[in-house]
Amino acid sequence: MERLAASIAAATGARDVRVERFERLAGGAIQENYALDVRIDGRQEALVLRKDAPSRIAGSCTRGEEFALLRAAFAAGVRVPEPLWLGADPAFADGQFFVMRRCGGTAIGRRVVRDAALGGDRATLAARLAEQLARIHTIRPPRADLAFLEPAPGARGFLRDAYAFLDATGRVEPALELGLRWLDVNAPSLQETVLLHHDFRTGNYLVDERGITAILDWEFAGWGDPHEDIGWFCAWCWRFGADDLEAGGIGTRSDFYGAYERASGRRVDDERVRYWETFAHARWGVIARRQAERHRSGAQRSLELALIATLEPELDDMLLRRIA
Amino acid sequence: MNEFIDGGELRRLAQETLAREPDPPSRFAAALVANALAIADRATAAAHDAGDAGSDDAALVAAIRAGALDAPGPEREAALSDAVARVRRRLAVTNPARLR
Repeated sequence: MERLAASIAAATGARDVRVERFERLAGGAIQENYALDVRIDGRQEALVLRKDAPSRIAGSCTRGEEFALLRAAFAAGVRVPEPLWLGADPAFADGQFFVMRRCGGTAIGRRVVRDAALGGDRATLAARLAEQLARIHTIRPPRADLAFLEPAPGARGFLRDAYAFLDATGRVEPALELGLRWLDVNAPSLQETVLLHHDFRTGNYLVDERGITAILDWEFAGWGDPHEDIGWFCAWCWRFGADDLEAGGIGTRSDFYGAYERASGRRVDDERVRYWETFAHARWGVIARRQAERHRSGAQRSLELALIATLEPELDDMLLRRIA
Repeated sequence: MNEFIDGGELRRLAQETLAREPDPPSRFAAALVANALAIADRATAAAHDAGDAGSDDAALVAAIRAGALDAPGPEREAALSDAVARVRRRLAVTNPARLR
């Protein structure tokens, strides 16, 4: 903790830094998050430190890049934890870490969809989320601070990476391949490029009794078609059992589309959203396989990662239903 | 390689996870372990550990990627129904509730 206190002192210019709590938070299969309570020159601060896990997966940005994304979102008025500083102290962590303000609420998907007290009225919560997404989509290229982002890779960029992963790991999976081929044949042209959160879904926002407190986990953000984020949010795999509420298990599709259209001034193309929903099941299926591979390869032995592999059949099942 | 679920490995990981936990374990860890053990038991019962790759899967995947099954027809239907059947066998191990 002395190294961490020294790192905070160096970043803030504070004379007296005392770390009073440093505790791993649940969740975060790709990155590690720690609750950090510190007293900085006598001022109490409730923070979160986010650092790289022992291994990473393709498509996930570095902590320095995620910090830049968080700053861009914060500046655009998106409800995110205020990003405070970026650290790189090799004596403390292997690689970069950043510190942000801690926000209240829960992100546990099953709890969010079941506990109607969270976020208040469900239609209102769906509308507020749509407004947050519309605000994220106000960030457009070119941006010098986000120059590390690849020009909109789109569905074909994902497919290229997915095939490379399957070939490199020797996976021969006809069900997934049928889905990937359908996505290739039916890929829509890119009409508009905005910043995508790329993992905007129930489970990745914090909510309390009053509403949304923060949009989390920006590590997959990148340029692309705004409908991709809407499709990801509405995909069956992120409804946490509340299948009738197609917008993230918390609202109707019309509540969500309507609020997004009012906030963004952009018409939602339902057919395009449905394509990206199919895409979502393939993309999550590939991410699940990549996660499982981190365990199988020995890079990070973990029961949590091994169990992610058990999601593959239900994602493949939904993918096949959508293309049949 | 078409490794799917290795029941023995899941059991070992579950035991390692429990050994690292305080007594009683956190609810999160307890839920992970219970889920892992249930899947491991079903995987063993289904003798699923060796995977279910068909002998000509590589050729099928090559045909899919080449677009040979893009058009509606009996070949595409056969590939789809075989894929669905395999996925359902895997679901019976990982999450049988999804089959109901």
